[in-house]
Amino acid sequence: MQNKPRTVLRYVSVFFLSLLFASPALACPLCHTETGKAVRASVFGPDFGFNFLVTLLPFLVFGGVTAAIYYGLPMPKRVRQKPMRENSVNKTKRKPWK
Amino acid sequence: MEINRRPLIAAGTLLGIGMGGFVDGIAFHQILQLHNMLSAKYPPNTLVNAEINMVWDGLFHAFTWVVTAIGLSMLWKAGQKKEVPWSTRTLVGSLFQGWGLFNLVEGIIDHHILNLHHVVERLGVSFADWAFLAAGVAFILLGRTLISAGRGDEIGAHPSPAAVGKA
Repeated sequence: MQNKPRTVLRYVSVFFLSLLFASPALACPLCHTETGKAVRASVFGPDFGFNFLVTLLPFLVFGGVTAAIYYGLPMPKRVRQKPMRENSVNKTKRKPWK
Repeated sequence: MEINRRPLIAAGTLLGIGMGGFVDGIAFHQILQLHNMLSAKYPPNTLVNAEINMVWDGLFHAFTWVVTAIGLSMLWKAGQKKEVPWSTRTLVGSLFQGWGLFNLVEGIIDHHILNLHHVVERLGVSFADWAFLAAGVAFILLGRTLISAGRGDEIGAHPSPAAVGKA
């Protein structure tokens, strides 16, 4: 019973140590393999700028919309008018032209 | 004191955009693997193409993370402003608004205009793409409804006692 935590610790240590000796991925962008080279060549190829821009583009729109929410759109302020009853001339009460 | 909900709505919207992006990235790109960032351009039917898509998916997630971090920072700052009501309905509505905005903007730009990928890649432009946009519209409408409902929320419970002032 007292050795149970030690046993668990041993198994966990062996597991993580075994990861160091696992076969490395063959196609990771940093790998020095033919597949890795092909991945790097494609990612950093002639389309890199375009691909980067199109990935970023929606986030630029998001930023613009959020800024518009935060700062408000530059729209003319609505001028609140007083209720018509107080301002307007009541035409029905005008004296008729003679 | 004039109430100003803009900082809270902006922060919630940005957080919603980030959360929506993570739902898309984690559920559709990784778990279900329905599509990747550039899967229409580089079909992930070879190891090389799958790795290429993983790089661009990673960049997409990086941008989503930055957006979420900025939203979190804005939310913190909003909580320190006296004039910002700490309204649950406003925040939740803003989150939905942001998520809907993500679906709408990303769906229109990436799925329909640029054709970088589609929701279910092997189907091309399909009902799933339109359902993605419809969900965006629905989320925005729900969000706007909640934000409007939260308009009457007063400056009551506030996270920062300093912002409210001493009792």
